[in-house]
Amino acid sequence: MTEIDQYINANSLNDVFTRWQVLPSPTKLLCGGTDLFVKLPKSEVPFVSLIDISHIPELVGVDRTDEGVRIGAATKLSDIVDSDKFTGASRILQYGASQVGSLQIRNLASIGGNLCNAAPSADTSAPLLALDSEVEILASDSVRRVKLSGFFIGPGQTILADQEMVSAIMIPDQHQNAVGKYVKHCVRSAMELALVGVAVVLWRENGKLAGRIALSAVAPTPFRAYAAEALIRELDALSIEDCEKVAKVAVQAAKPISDVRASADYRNAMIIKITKRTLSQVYHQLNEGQE
Amino acid sequence: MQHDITLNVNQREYRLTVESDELLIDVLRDRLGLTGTKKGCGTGDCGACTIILDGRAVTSCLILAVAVHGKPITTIEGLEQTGQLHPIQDAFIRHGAIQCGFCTPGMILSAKAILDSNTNPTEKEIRVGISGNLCRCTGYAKIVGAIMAVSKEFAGGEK
Repeated sequence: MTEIDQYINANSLNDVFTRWQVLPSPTKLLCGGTDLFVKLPKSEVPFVSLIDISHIPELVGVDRTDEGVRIGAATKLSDIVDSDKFTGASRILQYGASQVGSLQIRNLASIGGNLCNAAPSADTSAPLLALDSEVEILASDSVRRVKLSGFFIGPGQTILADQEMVSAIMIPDQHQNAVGKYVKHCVRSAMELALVGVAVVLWRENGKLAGRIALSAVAPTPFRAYAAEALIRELDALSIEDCEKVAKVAVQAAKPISDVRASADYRNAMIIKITKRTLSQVYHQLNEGQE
Repeated sequence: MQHDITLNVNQREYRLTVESDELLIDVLRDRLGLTGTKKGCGTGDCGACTIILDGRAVTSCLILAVAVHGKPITTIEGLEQTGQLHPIQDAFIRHGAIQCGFCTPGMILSAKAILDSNTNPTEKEIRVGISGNLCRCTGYAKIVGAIMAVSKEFAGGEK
């Protein structure tokens, strides 16, 4: 059971980094607290200091930029769900956010926290990967942008170094005709982790079919199924048989575990079924010119 | 580490000194004596500890008291007005939506949060709105019925 030694309510980013340098280790950033306060009672670390970043104005909000959509890392999931700034395929992030936990959890939880907690099944991860998103990472004296596809390195692990934080998530503008869908395959309709998460975005570029497929909950990290995406380009059309072919390539990149909720065999079978079905649905929507 | 804070609960201000690690649910129950908010799981899973914070339904077992200094909080005790039960409380009683009563405070606050943002919810919207509140007794049917009845009785009005 970890005791909270100090709590600092940071008013600015400068405040965060100044305090971070002088507070005793370990120090954790607190935003929504919906993962942190579940973990601390089970942790064997004796003390932790907390820096609350949830009130820092630069970290909150969804804004359209000339590159796409920028989401402050401390933005609550329920604010993402209710935002009118997402259009077209980028709405799959709103759907993903709406599937996390419960309404009460979404009213506290932040998108930055969902990503930094780095659960392999995180519901914002597959949609953001399928949208080719980036994260902005701040340190006291630097800022860098990294593709989300390179952010996760293992269950619960990201590339963040000591005293680095995610400040924003950027979704680039998608192709004008792009259509997407995120499917969370699970048993309950709320307060549930995905058994399999599939996010698909398809579009036509100069008449040629292209797409991105992201899978979550079926490997140590959420990931893009690049070989399956290459097959979509090669096929240039997606009959139901083609969708199955692509799905069977996608599943080869998965490494699901067997756990109390499902076996690896079941998850592999569901990856194929759900990827096939989702590809087919999105492809039909693309052809019908729907969003 | 100690913090001097003001908690704004049910439109009353409480000045107190809290430790960094005191959870809001424990401060509400043990320091302010507002035991209507229940502690079911302590991990934000059951919803029994639901309160309304700054207009949003949240699980108070995952919130530090120091983090909500100055923010308006409504607990179940805050629904009643001068001895009159809130229409949602009344509907739960009339429609048999209470058995053991343990989920009820959190359930009623989630119901209030639904109706505050949507005066005419469908059954599905109600079920989604209470999906963060577990009930082991009722099977939810009468809870949904009670919320539906309130929304119809007061459609368009203040709740």
